[in-house]
Amino acid sequence: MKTINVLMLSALFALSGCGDSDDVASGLDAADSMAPAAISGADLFATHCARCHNPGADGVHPGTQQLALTRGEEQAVILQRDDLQPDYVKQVVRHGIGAMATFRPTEISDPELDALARYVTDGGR
Amino acid sequence: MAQPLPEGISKAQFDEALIKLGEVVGPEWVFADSGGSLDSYKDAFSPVSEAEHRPSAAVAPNSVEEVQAIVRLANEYDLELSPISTGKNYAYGGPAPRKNGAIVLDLKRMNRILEVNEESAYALLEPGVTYIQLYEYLKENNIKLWIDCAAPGWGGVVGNTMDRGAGYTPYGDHVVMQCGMEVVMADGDVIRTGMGAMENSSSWQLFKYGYGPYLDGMFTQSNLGICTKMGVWLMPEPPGYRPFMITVPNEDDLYQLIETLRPLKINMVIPNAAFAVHMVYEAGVQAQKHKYFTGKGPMPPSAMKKMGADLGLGAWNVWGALYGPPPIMDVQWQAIEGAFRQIPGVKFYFEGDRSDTAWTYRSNLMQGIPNMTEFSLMNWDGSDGHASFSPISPVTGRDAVKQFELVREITNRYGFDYVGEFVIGWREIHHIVWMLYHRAKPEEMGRLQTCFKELIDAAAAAGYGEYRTHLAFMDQVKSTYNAFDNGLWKVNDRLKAELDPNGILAPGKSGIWPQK
Ligand SMILES: Cc1cc2nc3c(=O)[nH]c(=O)nc-3n(C[C@H](O)[C@H](O)[C@H](O)COP(=O)(O)OP(=O)(O)OC[C@H]3O[C@@H](n4cnc5c(N)ncnc54)[C@H](O)[C@@H]3O)c2cc1C
Ligand code: HEC
Repeated sequence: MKTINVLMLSALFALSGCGDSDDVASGLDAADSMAPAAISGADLFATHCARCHNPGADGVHPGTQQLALTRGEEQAVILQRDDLQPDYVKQVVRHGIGAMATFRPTEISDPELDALARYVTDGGR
Repeated sequence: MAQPLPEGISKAQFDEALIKLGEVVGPEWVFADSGGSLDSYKDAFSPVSEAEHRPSAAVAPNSVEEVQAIVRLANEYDLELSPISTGKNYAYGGPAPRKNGAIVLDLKRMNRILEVNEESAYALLEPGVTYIQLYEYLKENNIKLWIDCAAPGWGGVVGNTMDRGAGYTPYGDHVVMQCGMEVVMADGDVIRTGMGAMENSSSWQLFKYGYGPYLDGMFTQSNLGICTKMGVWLMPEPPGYRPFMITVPNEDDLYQLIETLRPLKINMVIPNAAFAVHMVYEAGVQAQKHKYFTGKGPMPPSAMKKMGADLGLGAWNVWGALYGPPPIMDVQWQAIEGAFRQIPGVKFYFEGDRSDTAWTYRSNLMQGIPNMTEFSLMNWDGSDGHASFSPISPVTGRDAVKQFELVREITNRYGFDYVGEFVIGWREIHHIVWMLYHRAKPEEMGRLQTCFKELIDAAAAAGYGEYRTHLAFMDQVKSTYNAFDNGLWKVNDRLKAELDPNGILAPGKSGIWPQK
């Protein structure tokens, strides 16, 4: 038992060692600096869409999987499509489709949605 | 879709109130454009008509002061406010309000990570912080703390905890890991709970209880206040992580499985919630039903056998993980393996043994890496709606088998697959049953609703109550917690009348209705 106790303690020390409190963002006044500033289409896509729409139709990404099933493998990855129009993307994002629920303007504002829809329809550029 | 108005209010009064709300938050953060942005506040997976839970508007403040001003306006104009934080409460109602015509108070813009303390391993968060955001913040700043998320990474700490949700690491009981709240009351006053009630508190996120009555729980699954800040304990990154999966071949093994898990859980040998997941649930995130069964109704056992063999799944699939220095994990694993070896046909899997979707997303969840994979379950049979039936069970083989048989019999009789998992906590099981359905099929939706109601009543008759439910079934679930002539609800009603006399906050949440 003794060995285990020592091991546990050293593991704990190793962990708390990296917790230098000066590095830590503390205090309520630090608030604004920590608000996320996701603005580019690429950032918005990474935050809100990629986990469902990245390539790979094995189910890890539900959007890609469902599009492979309903539209075919060719149409499965939305960033690789050339048939999507910005207005359609915006419609889908605000109103949902199939197993994809809606995104509210507090999550993706109207100007952000413009940038995101352009990014998606430009094939992720 | 016609836009409802808040109850008892004329269109003119409503329009005036919207202007006033716009003066508080800026008119661009008031949404009342039926068919436009406001549509994004519907429950896209609703088990009943979306029209039953439609907001009249949504308003999105950016500060506590704005929340207070909105609450005061609500009292003045007789508005009803339905607070959401990240607003992704799918399976239980999404961002939609319980009462038609209520105004959604959308706190998503308040998304500041106010403090992360690595030494004492906690964070203080605003309601709009998502799991994905917090996870990325910790990574970017090289802070060696883990989050504990629900399966969908787009939700968040505050909203999920307010509905008493659960996750997959040892910090998975979210209410237990919550420490300190700031709450705007229905009259616009602000309080801080626990140690936060001291002006110059040094320990708001360290000691939950403070002094005097412990109020935090009263604000969860309720409509007595609006949480504007929450403390949450975060798990220090452990020196080792070993996820494991254990499969058993037969549905009948459930009894022994649960009996095996109980001592391992009560004695904390398995530190996170252990999941015993039915084959259809596990298969559902990666395969489609029609590949194995093209008939109508629930999948028969013969098809399941073939599917299990193809996908390397058991009838039940147990998930857990070990965390800590390797020698400790070795000892824990010996105990776990020894116990499970007693079940004939048991198989063990570790990191590197499998790379299927189920392994990938569950091993991520058990180390707090947010993802969205579980939505693939809706691809099992192409459904576009789902709600969860979530009764609590004791951790005994007898109860688990009884619940399984009861729920499977009812769901199958109504033509639905049993898609369930047993989430074994410290002393109870959250039995999570996914109802999957196609919302454009009225006949199926009718069956679903009757089925859901029967599930709630049958479970209650057997002594089982739900831990949480969808908007549409809140009144019914409330009616099953009816001991002492509904004594609990009489107290809740008195609290509601005292703390929110005008009934402005989330009318009908958990079946608590204002008496006005
Ligand atoms: C595929 C799938 C998997 C799921 N897996 C899980 C899981 O693993 N664990 C789990 O717990 N759930 C799970 N759920 C259910 C649900 O989606 C999550 O719990 C989700 O985290 C809830 O949404 P949210 O975090 O955005 O909370 P919100 O939607 O913001 O809040 C939920 C509710 O809490 C109350 N509330 C929120 N904020 C406040 C506030 N500031 N003041 C007062 N009341 C408030 C409101 O009643 C609100 O409706 C799953 C759902 C789906 C579809
Ligand atoms: C929860 C997972 C999920 C998330 C998150 C998600 N989607 Fe989807 N998305 C889906 C699914 C599933 C479908 C397929 C619906 C269907 O079959 O009709 C889909 C379909 C779409 C389509 C329609 C494609 C077509 O062929 O009609 C577009 C466009 C789209 N998504 C864009 C987005 C964007 C942009 C985002 C990020 C803001 C996003 N999605 C986020 C799951 C998701």
